Amino acid sequence: MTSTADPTGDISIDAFDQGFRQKLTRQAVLSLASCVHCGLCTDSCHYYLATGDPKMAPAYKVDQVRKVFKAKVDWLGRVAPWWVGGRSITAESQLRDLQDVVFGSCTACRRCTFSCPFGVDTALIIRLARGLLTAQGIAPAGVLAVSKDQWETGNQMAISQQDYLETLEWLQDELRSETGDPEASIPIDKQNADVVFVVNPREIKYAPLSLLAAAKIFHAAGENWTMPSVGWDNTNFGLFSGDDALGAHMGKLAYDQMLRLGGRKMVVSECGHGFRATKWEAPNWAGMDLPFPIESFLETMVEYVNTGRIVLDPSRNPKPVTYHDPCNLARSGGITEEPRFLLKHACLEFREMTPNRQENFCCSGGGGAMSMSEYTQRRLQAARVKADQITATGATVVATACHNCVDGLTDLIKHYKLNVPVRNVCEYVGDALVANGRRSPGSR
Amino acid sequence: MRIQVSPFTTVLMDQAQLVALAFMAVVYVLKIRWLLRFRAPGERTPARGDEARGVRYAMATLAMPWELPSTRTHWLRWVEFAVFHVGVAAAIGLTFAMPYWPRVVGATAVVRLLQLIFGAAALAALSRLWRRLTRPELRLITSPDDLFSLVLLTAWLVAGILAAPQRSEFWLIVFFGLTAFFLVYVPFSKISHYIYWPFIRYYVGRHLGHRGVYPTKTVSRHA
Repeated sequence: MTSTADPTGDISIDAFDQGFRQKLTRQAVLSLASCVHCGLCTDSCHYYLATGDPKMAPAYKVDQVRKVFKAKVDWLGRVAPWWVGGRSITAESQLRDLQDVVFGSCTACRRCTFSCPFGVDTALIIRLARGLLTAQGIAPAGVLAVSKDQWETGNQMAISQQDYLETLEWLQDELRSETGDPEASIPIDKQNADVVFVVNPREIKYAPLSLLAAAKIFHAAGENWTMPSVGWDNTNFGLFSGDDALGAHMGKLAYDQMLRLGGRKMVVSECGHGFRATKWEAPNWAGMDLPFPIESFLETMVEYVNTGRIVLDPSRNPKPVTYHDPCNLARSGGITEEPRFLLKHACLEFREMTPNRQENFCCSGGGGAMSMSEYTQRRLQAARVKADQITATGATVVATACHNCVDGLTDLIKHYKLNVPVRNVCEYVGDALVANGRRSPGSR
Repeated sequence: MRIQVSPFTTVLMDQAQLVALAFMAVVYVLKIRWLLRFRAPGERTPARGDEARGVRYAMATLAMPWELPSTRTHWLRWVEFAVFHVGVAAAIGLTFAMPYWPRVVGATAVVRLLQLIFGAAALAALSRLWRRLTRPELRLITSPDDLFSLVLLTAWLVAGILAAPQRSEFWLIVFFGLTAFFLVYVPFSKISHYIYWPFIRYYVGRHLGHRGVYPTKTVSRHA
């Protein structure tokens, strides 16, 4: 397979039904069959909290998929669908309505799953439905376009290899200038490196400062690292579109480079979904048992601090900082303490957001929402919850560990006029780096 | 002391229940077999956390309302859940006890205790019904099965209150008639959610335990 959907293909409701049955896993069946409609998930959703619209309650949204399950799979529902709330898809317009629900009103953040006494995995069901719709070409134009770019160019921003390498070369010059070390480098395709670093294309195209910060940190730690010349994109739109084949394809691109280079471990830059997809999901989609470990750059930095390979001076970041937990790191990746450890070592004042960690609210740009311009207004309306959370901390800068969250937060901060800049954790760490272990006077 | 009941009621309280119970068991066995036929993909990557610990935590959250944001916030809903399910469990227990140990459950203190439990559970059920009928987000997703199950369970609990003293054959017939109906209907209705609960909590716990997400770390412990 080389594409997510055939845009010239006819929409087939039969194919949707067949695909629905084929994609059902035991976990999905359990999430579809066990909801008792108690509504305890309702106020876990930022869309609902911001709008008060009952159609934004997670149970309602999943129920739009559950209706198909009830009508087609459930024992009683197949005999009397109306009795259990089942409804078959019979018209293309219903598929379009479903698109609005699963793409336009859910960021698949999984917050409701942690509120559900059963643990109904809303995001799993939403992704299942997204995959079925995407296969029919029924998806936001941005999702289809980015998926196409990943299939065709191997990265979500269609960055050519020449542009990629030139950007790294320019960043290497910056690195030498900032460190004063003419030998400092961003190695490309170095064999047998201890660390193979894969990044979010946003770092190449729009946010090179985070990549520069990472390079400074690797340099300060004396790391034997490299970046691959191809297969360097850690992001994966297969996670958002529900296309497992694309998910496997993107994972394999990175894994193949890792195997070619003979690296010891793969380190994923600060990208919530990139980390989740690369470390956790893509091996499952690709059916691969990886012979090397994968870790988040957050974990790498913590190790550097703990082993004394880098020394941080928190006085270099004097402004009160708060941390936004990316959903894919906190609720699907288990990474909550590492960024806090780093920020407490790199900044003078850390203020906790409430709620936080696994209970944190989505930045509102998750699940690929930033690429769905048709839902921007709704997304920004739902973002009020996050805006209120940030405001309540009184922090003047925000840190996060996800480029997608940086975009989502920046957008809402502009919309709600909060005037707080957002940066990745590594940028704070990079700013706090102390050459030769010397700290500023008076720092802790 | 239980009143003397007709042969019909005796059969309804005993043999009819056993037949209905056997039917329920068969359907549940088939249902679990059906469920297990769906593939259950696992994680291929090495664990970051502890799967067994994750499963234990996932199972234990039922008794730890402070662990879920929803029940921590709406703690009365958890109390309501507990009262309702304790009542249902007690009523199920009574259907087994009454035909075989009528004297044990016929003691005045036991009867009063059961009536108290059933009454509280019926009130919890009515509260749930009221919410389902008045909350817009619940009305949108409520199916006829949801309403029927709740109304019938409420009626069953009320019948339990009246049947518990074993002094009215009419209420014994109503209580055991409803019980037999439930045993046949429940495996097909939403009430069978309890059969899924251990499975879904197992998979949620295994998945989130593997990734080091479960047991969760929350603001209350780390702020």
